[in-house]
Amino acid sequence: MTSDASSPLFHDPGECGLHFFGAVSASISHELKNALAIINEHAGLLEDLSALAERGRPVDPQRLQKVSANIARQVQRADGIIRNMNRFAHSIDAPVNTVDVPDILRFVAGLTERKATMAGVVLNVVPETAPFSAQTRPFFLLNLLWICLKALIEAIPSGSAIQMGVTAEGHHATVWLHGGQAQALPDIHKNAIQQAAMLIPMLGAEVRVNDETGNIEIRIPKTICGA
Amino acid sequence: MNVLLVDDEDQLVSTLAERLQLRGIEASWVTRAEDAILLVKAREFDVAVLDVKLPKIGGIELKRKLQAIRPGMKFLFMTGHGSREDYDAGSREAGEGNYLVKPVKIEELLDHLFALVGPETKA
Repeated sequence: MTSDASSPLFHDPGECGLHFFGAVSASISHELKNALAIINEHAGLLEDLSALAERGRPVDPQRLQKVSANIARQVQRADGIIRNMNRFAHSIDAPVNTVDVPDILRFVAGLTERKATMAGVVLNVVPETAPFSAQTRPFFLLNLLWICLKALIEAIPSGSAIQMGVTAEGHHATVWLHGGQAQALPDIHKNAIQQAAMLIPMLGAEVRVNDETGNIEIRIPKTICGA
Repeated sequence: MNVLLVDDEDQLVSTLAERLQLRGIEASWVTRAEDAILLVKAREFDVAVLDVKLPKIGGIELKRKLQAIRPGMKFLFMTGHGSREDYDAGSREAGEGNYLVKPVKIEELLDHLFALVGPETKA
């Protein structure tokens, strides 16, 4: 494996975490720019329609209502993006904290959604009824899950779907990622392991490929020893 | 002037197309690179305004494909992604300055379009 922009190797967890923080922030800022651009165009259209009305061309009230509803929708969208950004920023407030693993997985899926869309990949988190709390390093757990999911997104063909879920057994939860027709699971696994080399021991986690199911599995302990 | 807008944000391109049409510019829009290729094969456009970060096929790759179909076509990039590397790559492909960062004022877009295509096409 080479160390390029899409699969960097890091010297320490801080460097890996900063890369993660930068990548997510860039994606969020891009999403916000899109929402703002749409609001900008709709505001401009209202201005155009007003100018036409001043010159005597009637404006359909339903047209105005539609533009207004679209602006409101984009404001909601931007608000959701900012809420995600805020939650992400606060994930490093406490080095060690108790988290709900299925909730963390849904959050990572949300953070990665734009990347998946760009690759033509759909992300599905299967319904999880049993919550599993783990005392862990939330930011670095997000980082590890993001690396594994990103590696799978980059490796599978456009038009594929990734199924994700959590199973719990005793003192461990296993986050599994299934990429359908993923052809090169060992390579994806190796790539993810290399990128996450610094994170796996500090989380007490394991990353492996399940030969029977074809799943990438990230095993997370209920507590970190020595935390 | 005949303009093709390509961006995966359908509300953005559809509204922008409507605003250009109100100014007498013939504007078409698609949200997928594949559809842009089909449309350019079928019809001639003076200029295409492309999002840089398109799903599956990126804007720069799409520009090369469209240019191979219509060598005389002009291009302008419009993006929400503001990295220096992207700006340099976009400027190399479409010419210095033909890289706009969203949100874009329509007057600025029109200035760029007329600079690319020529004032004789003004409505």
